[in-house]
Amino acid sequence: MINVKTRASEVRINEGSVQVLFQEEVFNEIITVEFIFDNIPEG
Amino acid sequence: MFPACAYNGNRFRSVKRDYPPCFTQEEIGIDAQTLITDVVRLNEDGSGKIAVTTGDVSVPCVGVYDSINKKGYLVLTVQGDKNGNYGLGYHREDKRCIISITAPKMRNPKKYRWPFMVECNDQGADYKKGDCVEIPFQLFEFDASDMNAFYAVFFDHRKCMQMDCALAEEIPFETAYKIEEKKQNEMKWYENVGYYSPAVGEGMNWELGWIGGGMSSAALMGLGGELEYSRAIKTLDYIFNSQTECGLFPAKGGTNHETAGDFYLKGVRENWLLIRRTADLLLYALKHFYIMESKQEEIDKKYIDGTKKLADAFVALWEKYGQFGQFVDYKTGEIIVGNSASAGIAPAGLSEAYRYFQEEKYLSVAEESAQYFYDHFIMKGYTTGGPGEILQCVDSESAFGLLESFVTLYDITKNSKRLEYAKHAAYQCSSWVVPYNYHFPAYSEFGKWNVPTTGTVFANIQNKHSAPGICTLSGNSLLKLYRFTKDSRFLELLGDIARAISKCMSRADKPIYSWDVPKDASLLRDDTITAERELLPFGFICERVNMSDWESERCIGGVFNGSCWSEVSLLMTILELPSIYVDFENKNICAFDDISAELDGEKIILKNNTPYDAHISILVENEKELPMYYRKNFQNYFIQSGESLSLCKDQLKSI
Repeated sequence: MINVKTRASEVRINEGSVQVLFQEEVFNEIITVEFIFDNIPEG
Repeated sequence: MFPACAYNGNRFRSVKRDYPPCFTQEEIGIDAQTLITDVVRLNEDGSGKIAVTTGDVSVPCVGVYDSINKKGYLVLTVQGDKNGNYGLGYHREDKRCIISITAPKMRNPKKYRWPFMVECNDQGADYKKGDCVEIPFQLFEFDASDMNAFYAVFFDHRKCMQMDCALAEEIPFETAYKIEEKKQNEMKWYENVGYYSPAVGEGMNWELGWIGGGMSSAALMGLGGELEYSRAIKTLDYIFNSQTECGLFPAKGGTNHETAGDFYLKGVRENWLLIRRTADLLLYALKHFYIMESKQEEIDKKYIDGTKKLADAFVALWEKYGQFGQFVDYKTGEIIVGNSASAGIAPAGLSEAYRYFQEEKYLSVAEESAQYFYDHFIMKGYTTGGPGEILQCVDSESAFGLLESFVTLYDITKNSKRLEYAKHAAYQCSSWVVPYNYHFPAYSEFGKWNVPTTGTVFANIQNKHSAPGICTLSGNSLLKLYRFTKDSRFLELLGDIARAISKCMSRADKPIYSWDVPKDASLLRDDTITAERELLPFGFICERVNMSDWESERCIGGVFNGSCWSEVSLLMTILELPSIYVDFENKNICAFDDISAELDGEKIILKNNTPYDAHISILVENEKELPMYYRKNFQNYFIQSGESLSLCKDQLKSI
């Protein structure tokens, strides 16, 4: 699963890239693309 | 796994210690638990978070191996965008693993500032209305039966982001050698003690193995003339005159004829020797022998007996401890700190000792110790102990040492298991090699010269720089591995490594200046101090290829005014690799020299795009066994600057 954290108004998750579109000014922004893998045992 | 940055999440016991770190009395022992310094890491139980930048890793990639479900996961991206490097992260939330890419980098609350983790204040970026950001990535989820299967997939995809990886043709081997030979003779020969030193300057400038003592002499003996030959012989004299009763050697020496160990614990342990130094010597002493034989020169009995005594010392260590350790007492032969792959290259030396002396015990210990290293390190996905000033941080040098060992063992025994081990070691080695050209800041020295990073090799997880070359080998084990497997990716990897080194050499047409940071300023924690930039004398190759801000932002793309082991890697590359290797049968050609090479059916087309005329060498594959020293199999040709040369298969004698 891919999750994108951003204050941008539009996010597109494509095969091979994430596109983030800003419809308004945003300051001190960190765009975070998370790749989440479930059921991974510790070890 | 963050390539060249974190292995097994760096979940090892860790201590905060000034550079250079040394073990305490409580930390030493034969079966001591792996101990690392204060580097980027997860907690030992796997909790916590790793957050770094793409400059901290060789490949912008994060990988996870799930050993329970036998699955692997890799996320790859690119260096960054106009706002700078991306960030890479990993953490767990219950049974979830989360790999993250951030734009821009975001390491808060902590980043690595050598030699400690420190507070961090990375900032976000400002975006205007209409700005569009595209973050490229590749995600791979795959079955992987073990750690080696995981690394095999990594090896397959390390260049998948298709970033620029071109290496310009600047200077042929021949010209680079002439510059280097002159520098070695003028600045690294010490007449009063009689050795080619690995370091410049009077005083304690001798170090055995590791960074080049007793290694540069092999290359100069093979490539130079009478002067270099005689000086190499004197270097062997110096080395074997210092051999101790147990067959080992002092780690260091100086121009006042003094000798010393790597470290000491006052009143507890003296005479520390990083065992890889003597493992290097065992292999390199034999390299000297084969060069001398090729020149039909007599080999002094003192060197032969001393080398045999050294091989016996390794056998004795193995028989007593079942390992070679990391640090040993060079006077008694006792292990001070064990549990390490420091002597990863020892099985190669012992295998060659078997070939030379024809004593079965050397091969037997080579086989047993290689199996030990495979089981205890390669199978776990990391190797330690190559360098002597990082405690037991994971490093590339021991990995490449093990590659040399597995390849040599296969060469001698033809045991297919060893070939598999060699491939596995090569996959892990590739995780330390940069597969793309990093964009340096325009103000930096490397930015100014557009120095390529492709093929440079990260040293270890503590000293977070990439470097020109393998410390300290030509990497010709990868050529041998290609010959055994016909997997052209090994040739490509070696080609990248070989061609990267001379790009970092200071020379008349590329004078490299040091950064404006005073020596050890990073340790002072004051980024405002400046110093005069210095011109690196021609022939100097500094070990720094700084993609990371581990020594401050100002040090990215910069070097100190140092003459480092990378020069020995260059010399060994020129000694052991041909300019061009061609395998007509399997339609492969590889340039290790700065010469353009194409294969056109039964013909090879070479072009010298450098400003220098060049005598070049060609090695043509013919499936016969190669001896340890095989320069006599090279065919020599001349190409003027700007000219081309076409040669048909029939014209080229095979090996």
